[in-house]
Amino acid sequence: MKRILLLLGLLAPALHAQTISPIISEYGRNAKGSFTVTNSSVQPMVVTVSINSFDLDPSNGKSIYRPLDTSTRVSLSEMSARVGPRQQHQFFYRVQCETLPCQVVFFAGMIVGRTPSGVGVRIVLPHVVYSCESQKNCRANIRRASGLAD
Amino acid sequence: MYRTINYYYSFRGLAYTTFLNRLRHVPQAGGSCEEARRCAAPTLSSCELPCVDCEIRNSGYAYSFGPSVPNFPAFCAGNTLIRGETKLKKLLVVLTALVLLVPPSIGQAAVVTSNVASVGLTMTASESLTVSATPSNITFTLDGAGTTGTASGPISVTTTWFFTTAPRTIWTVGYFSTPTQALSGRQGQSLVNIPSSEIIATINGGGRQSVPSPCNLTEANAPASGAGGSCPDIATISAATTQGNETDSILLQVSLPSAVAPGQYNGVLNIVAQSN
Repeated sequence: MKRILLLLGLLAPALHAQTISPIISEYGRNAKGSFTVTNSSVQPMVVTVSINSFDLDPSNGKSIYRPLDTSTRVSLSEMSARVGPRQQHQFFYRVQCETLPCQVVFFAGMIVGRTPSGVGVRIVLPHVVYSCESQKNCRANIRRASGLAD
Repeated sequence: MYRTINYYYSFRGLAYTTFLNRLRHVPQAGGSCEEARRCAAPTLSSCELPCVDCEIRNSGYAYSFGPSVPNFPAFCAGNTLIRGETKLKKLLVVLTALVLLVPPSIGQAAVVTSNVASVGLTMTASESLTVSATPSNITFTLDGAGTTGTASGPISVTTTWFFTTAPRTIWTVGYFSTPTQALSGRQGQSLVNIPSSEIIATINGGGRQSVPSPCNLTEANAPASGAGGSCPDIATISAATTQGNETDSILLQVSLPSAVAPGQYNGVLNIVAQSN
């Protein structure tokens, strides 16, 4: 019995693991790409996507999120999707910024646990988009402009 | 003479003629030609053949030769071979067929070298960030006074990263989307809410965050969180390597100023792992 519990304990983290890939994408003026959400669990899950603009906090490098800038237009293939067990789903997007550089983050939220009484867990994973005049070193340039190291 | 016979078997029509030509040039040494005339083909009408001492049978013709033929023993030895025509012929036919069946490439493999074909192999290993939370839901047990709810257990949060560059920083944060409704339940027709300020979080058993703190922090690093919906950071990971994982835990507790009405209250804790 102890062995079974130990085995379940070892397997447990993998049962509800969710993955996003890639984490960061750099583009030139035309930011057109995709990100993939992987459901490693044995149950289907619904993924909902939200979009934010953000700045970088020069003191610690954290992102400071805010609603999407009005000067930024984002088109997304789907705002939500159902991902089957052990399946993955690819979201396609296009980001157009009137002012460059700009940075946008897509948050993919997945409820992995529900309970009628208590607290369920929702995992949120980001896909960060940096858009500059030139794709090369876009993220590094934005970070430098914010007073951060590359 | 052997050569003639061998040709005969290999190339029947051509060898036949060759064979006859050779016979015509054999010097006559007397003897009767009747036998040859009787059974030979028209091309042997000149009667150049000597007496009958051995036979060759081919394709229905029978030729006879005598000891006057030069090199007679060898010639008759050849005839002996011809008498074994059936077996020898079959063997030669089989060998010829095998030679014909052998693919030309085998014969050419030793001398012909193909060009070097190259196949491009490409594998893209994108960056990824994985988070798992176990258990995926917890329940609270209220004490007798109905003011303190003890969680069924901590939530173990494992963050796994695969980066293309390092070092990088990963922040893992827990927050409630609507701080005023961390937990909510219905009491008849009305909705009763428990705010996030009444949810106490202990990170890693109090090891990293020495003091349990309410989830009423304002964390700009947490997406879609109103002011005052965040718990203390679950983890700030300085990823020195491109691959790795870290496991942390968050233990929640409900701490109410006064007892709530009996009922079922539920909510959702968001756990976000970020790297920019």
